[in-house]
Amino acid sequence: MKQLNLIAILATFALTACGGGGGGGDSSAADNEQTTTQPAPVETVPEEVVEQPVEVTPEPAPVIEEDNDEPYVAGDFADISVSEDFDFAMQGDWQVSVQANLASAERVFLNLCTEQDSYGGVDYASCVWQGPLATDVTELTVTLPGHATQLNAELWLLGSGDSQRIQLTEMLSDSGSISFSF
Amino acid sequence: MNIKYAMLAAAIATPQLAYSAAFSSCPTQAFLVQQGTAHLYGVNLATGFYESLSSDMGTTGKLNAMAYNFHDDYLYAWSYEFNTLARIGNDYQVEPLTLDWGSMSHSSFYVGDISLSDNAHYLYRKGATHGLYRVPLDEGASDYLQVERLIDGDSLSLNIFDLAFHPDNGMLYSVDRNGVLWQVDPQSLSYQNLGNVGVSGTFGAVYFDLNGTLYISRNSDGLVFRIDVAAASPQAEQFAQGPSSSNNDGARCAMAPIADDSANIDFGDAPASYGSLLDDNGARHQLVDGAVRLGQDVDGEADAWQYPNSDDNRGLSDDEDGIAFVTGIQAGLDFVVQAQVSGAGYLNGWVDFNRNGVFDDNEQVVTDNWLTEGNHSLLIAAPADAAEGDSWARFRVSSVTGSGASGGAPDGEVEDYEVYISQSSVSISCYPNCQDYATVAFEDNWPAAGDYDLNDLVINLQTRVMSDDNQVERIELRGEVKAVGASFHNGLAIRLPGMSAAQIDEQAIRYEINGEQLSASPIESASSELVVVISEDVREYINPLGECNFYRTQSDCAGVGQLNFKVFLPVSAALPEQQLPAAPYHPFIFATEHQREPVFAQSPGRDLEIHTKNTAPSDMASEQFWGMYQDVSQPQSGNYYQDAQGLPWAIILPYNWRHPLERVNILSAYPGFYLYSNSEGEQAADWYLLENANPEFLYQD
Repeated sequence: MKQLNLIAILATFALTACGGGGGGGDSSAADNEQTTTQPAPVETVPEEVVEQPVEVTPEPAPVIEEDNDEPYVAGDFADISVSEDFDFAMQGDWQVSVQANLASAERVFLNLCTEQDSYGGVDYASCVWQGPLATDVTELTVTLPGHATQLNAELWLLGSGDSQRIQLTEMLSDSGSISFSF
Repeated sequence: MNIKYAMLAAAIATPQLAYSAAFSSCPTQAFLVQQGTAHLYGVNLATGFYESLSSDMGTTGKLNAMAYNFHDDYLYAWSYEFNTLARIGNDYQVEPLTLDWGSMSHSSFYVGDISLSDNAHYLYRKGATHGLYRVPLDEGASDYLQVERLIDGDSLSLNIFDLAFHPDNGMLYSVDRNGVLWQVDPQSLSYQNLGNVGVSGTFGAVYFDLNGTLYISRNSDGLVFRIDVAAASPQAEQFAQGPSSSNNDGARCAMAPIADDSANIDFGDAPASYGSLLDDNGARHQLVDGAVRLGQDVDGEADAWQYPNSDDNRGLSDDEDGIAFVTGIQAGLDFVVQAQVSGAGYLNGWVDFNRNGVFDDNEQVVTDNWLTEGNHSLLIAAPADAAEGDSWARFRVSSVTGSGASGGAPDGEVEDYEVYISQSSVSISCYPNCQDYATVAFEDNWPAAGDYDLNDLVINLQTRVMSDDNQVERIELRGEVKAVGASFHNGLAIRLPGMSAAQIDEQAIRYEINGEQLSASPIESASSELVVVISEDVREYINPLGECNFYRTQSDCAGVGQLNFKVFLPVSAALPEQQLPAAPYHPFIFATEHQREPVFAQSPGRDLEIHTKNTAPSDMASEQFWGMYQDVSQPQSGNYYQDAQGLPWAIILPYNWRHPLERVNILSAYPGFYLYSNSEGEQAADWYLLENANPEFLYQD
């Protein structure tokens, strides 16, 4: 994928640690994720549902390159010729910048993942970085496989017994850098 | 009447002589008969899964005191409609038998089993006018079907609802409604109270297995418990969840194991202490088409592939895809887990917070949470006293409630996960990601050209970096040897360029091979850089007896052995993330003292290293090999380990790669490699994906 595209999926919902659940009213792809109540083994958190307004970044419709469905055709092995400097590296380092307002939650947790699941949410099996954010601007370097076409940034805002999730997706380009602004 | 007509008349008058056939062999499954009109079920006692075998057994009444006869492979049961013992063959139809009671009167029976030693059905009913009866079943014996009362039901007064013969000692066993385990000697007619097993209720079906383990099924809830009757103080352990019924009787061939070799059960794969194997009453679920499961995939095994032998590490069969730890587990704080469910069912989950190697009762974090199809986010509280370090979590989903951390369930799935519990805000950076493995593939003929099947040594590799406030705390190297498609012996190591051994707390290193923690340090002390030697010779673990030299590169050489590694390197001094080399660092192989002919008349040993293209060797390598054979390296220009075509002897693929079969050139297996190479990565960047392969040229387990 050579063209930079930005797909913004902002899905917010809440979950509670006790009692009835319920999600936000978002109808985006990530809305298939369901909020579930769960008894907390240690502490009881008041039943509360926090709903956030749904924001949709006014980006142009994504342009997705057509996959090349034609099977690759091999030539003669003897005809392969590669320069001495080409190192067959099938992954690359990416500079990732994440901007988020940390004051809006007690804790903010970020997941960077290369794939989405069938519900449009983050496929956590593809995460390359997971951790808390300590500052409003975070600069990271991640190594991504050559076959990755997108990077999903998922932000979790955790409070006392509730949480919200926001997801942004960027298609990978040749630039080697990506910026997410929540 | 002549003889011909007499025979015809006899045949018409006694239709039961048209006997159904016996069962073909001693079956693994148990039989359970329920309901007022007998309905026969087959039960897998390992999971509690049951399926209907027949709802029309040729009787309008119920059956009880059912038993499997090991001597003739028929079932026998007391028929309430015919008020006699009936035989049941493989068509599940009752054939009433005419018993000779002599002068005795009798009523119906709901307790009975068949002896494995004397081919007789023992029927029991409490009360002075009843007792324990013996019904010989040997058709060739003179006492066939002649009933004998052995003892009256006052002298042997037990509140039991079924009994079973031990496969070895010939004793009868049962558990009464108060939970007392009874042993009855059918010869001396003495009986013994073996103690209370800790559960009570009506146990309408009791069975033995080949090992002499007793299984008892409780009518009220269908729970199956197992009891080691030879223990000093036998205790009931919940084993599976079967069908409940007010009218319940069971039978099975006691000479059969509790589970057969068919891979129709999904087992957990956490380490032994958590319980994964069937012998350990590990968590397990019957595979049922269309049943609820976690994620998209579920696979079955004959028994658990227990850590570190989990089949999930090998990528292609990784069915642990339903649970994701969305945020890290930090002591005293909430964390988020996502459960993806296919179908709908009850979720239960445990995290070993205190890291004592078991899932304690108070470590259950999800209890019978009904989840429908889709993704569900669960907010879970980690206790403040959670112990820092590596631990395990287990999640189970089933259509039934009450799944414990161990034991069988009639459907659903169990997934086990390694987790890390922190005391601080730890981030984790993974290559190629936090779940999958990359592949490093070597041609080991260097500096001579090989057959370019890129399978002489193939490893899976995953690296993780754990940091706190941008300071690296720990580097993790995990992986496994996938294939060894050559006869050479090779060592396997990973160099972390720019780092030194002094930056690692060597005393705190965790170095595991095949799940066993080794005391030796994996750090190569003679190297000026940080070099972690996974193995001095992978053949010490893979195919050590040399049964075949193409381990997992030829279909007939699955080989023996395993090399699964895990190295955790705690950082001893401040190390900003920015100073860490890029993952996956520099994996390489090196020669051993074993022969390396015909490339070398005498093995160069540790002097010879093989790296990816344009990766400099460690300072342990000799420079004498540059330019030999097909190598055209020019170290002074930074060009290493390449031939005249610019091709490497090793590649790293950020993907759990399916390697080619033995002597299959890479282009045959992956045609896109041609375009990728000649375009120098500008095209066909996904050449290594399975969908771009010719699968017939790939090794498959």
